[in-house]
Amino acid sequence: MVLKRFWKLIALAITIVAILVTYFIHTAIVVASQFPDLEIKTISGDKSVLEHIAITGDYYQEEGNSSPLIVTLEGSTYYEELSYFEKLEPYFPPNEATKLKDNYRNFMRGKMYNPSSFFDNEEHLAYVGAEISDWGTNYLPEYYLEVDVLNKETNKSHSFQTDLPGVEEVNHVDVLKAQVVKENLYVIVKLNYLLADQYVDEIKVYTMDISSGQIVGDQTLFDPSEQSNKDRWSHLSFLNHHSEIGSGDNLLLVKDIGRDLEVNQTDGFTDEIKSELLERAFYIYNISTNQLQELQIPEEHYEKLLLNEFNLSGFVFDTHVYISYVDEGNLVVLSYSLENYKLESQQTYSLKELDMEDSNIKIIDNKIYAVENDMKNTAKIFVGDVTTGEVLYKGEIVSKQNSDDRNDYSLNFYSVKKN
Amino acid sequence: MKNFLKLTNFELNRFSKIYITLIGLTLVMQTIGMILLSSSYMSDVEEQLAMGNSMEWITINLGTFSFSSLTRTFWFGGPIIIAIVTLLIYVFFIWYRDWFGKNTFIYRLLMIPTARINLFFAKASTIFLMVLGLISLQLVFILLENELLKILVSDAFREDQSLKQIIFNFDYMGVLYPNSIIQFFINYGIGFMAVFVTFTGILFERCYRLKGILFGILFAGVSLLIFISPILLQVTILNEFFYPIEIFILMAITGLVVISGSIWMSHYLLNKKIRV
Repeated sequence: MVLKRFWKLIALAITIVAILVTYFIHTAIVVASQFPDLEIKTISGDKSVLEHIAITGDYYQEEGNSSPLIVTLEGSTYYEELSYFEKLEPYFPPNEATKLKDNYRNFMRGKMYNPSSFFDNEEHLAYVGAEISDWGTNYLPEYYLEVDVLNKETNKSHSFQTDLPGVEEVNHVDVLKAQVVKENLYVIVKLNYLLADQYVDEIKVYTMDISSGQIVGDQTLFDPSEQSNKDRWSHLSFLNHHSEIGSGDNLLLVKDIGRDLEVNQTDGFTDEIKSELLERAFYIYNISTNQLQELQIPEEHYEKLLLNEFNLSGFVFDTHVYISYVDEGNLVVLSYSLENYKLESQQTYSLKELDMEDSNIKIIDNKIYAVENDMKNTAKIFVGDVTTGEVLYKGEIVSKQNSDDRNDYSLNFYSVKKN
Repeated sequence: MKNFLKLTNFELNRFSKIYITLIGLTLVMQTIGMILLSSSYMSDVEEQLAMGNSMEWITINLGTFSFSSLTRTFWFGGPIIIAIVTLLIYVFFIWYRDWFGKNTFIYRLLMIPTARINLFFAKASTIFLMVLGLISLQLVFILLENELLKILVSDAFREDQSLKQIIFNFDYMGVLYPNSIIQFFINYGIGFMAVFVTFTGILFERCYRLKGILFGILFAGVSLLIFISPILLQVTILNEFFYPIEIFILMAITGLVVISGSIWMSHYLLNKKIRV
């Protein structure tokens, strides 16, 4: 009786529930099978060197599915496979700054999660963000620094904003490092602006008095006006880990000077500009002592460093500075002591056997990690000891399914992190 | 409960002819579109083959035929838009027909010995069921049409697409068919909240007539403000204070506030202020 009376209502309700439930089950299965499960296969050595290591990158598939991913010894995690709520987290893969959010939930509100903007030690947690207040009439951004310092003992934070003294028309401001030393906060920023028709980099060190919120020191590390040469370009880069919140005092900087060679101007268009690296210098800047020290590079390495403009990595770890580059299938690491800034050792690892063309390099805890970055469906991993030169591990990231029908994708790994 | 079901069934029955027409129109138009497009494509292919061009040349120059070739046309999107517009109009008509139909039917409805808010719920449920019904049936239609495509176009010139790719390639279907079930509840929850608020607006008009239109618009405006207040706070005075998960929770709360406010207000209007 009821059935007969309400049949339209019941039929419609059943149709809806049946179809939608099937659809969502189907979607869940499709999403789950969309991405291959990856694992790390050992070629030689001990897997344990990869404990607490996360390799992050992107997955691309021909049909258009792509997703950021993390690979660890436990397997692979794809962003697209995360639940709705996990996806609400603004950063994937999580970085050191996002991890701070778990312990300092209130302090971390409204901050940009750029690890180099944070400083963390036993007494303080500090944040310095370069924010844009307005856009000037010349379409250039007007920057200010948003500063917040948490005293961990009292659990009170002190925040203030400050203009950047000595900075007028800039194109971009990047906070490279923040460091609390006693009652002062040191902030290192890189400015990029137009000087005599050329974009130049400048590195400034500001000293702030935390209690008053005033800038008490303003120093320029590399003044571009001194070296401005119309035919040359110069770049300053910061080689310490951008992804880590270091509490170390030393910064590794590289200054590149080069020139652009114009090729092919016959048709009236400059369709190709070749860039040539002419000079390359490495500096260690110590924040507490305010000293800038140039590192001496042996001649044979210097030539190769000029040739390998983009295959360069640099790290500061504990008592050493490492400069590393890849040249003709060899991974070279130069170790300098932070005590006397002298070259202490140099290691060369052959990557030829692993056939790694392009790779990302990272030094973590005296170990050098190289992960192939060649847009293939596998990626080789190499781990070496930088103090002894010993090869610790060789492996490969491969698909667990190991079937030939899933080779329509490519992996692009761009970072190795401590997990 | 029984009264509510009776009323809902009654409302469904009243619209069933048009509703079934909408379903039929969708299926027929999309099927015709598929047949026309694929046969015109296949005749182009045959023409090229007759001219001696290789299959490879044809797939490069004419392109392959996929479900997306249909979804981009009016044959596919047209009935969907017609259905959406019809249901939008019916959100209003479902109330006004009771006043303006022959012999003011609302008089009888209001006299039914049951809580008057059941009328409101029955009409809202009818709209929800019809929306979800069309949404689900469209999914089945896509699958059927996809099978039809396989019959009409030969393998060599066909690019098979999965259900997900078909949806992904068709812009607004992403909103209608989200990947995650939570996103589904969010999208349709917001839609149904809007239906509730619109119903209350209609009741305002039915109670106060011209002045009521103003009240209705005001009510909708306040509801919108309440619902998006967490975002407004976030981008203005609080400056990114909330974490995304907190915004989600706050908006779930403000959404429920708006829905309860709308139900409460409609209950009051139906019981105390309604005019026939």
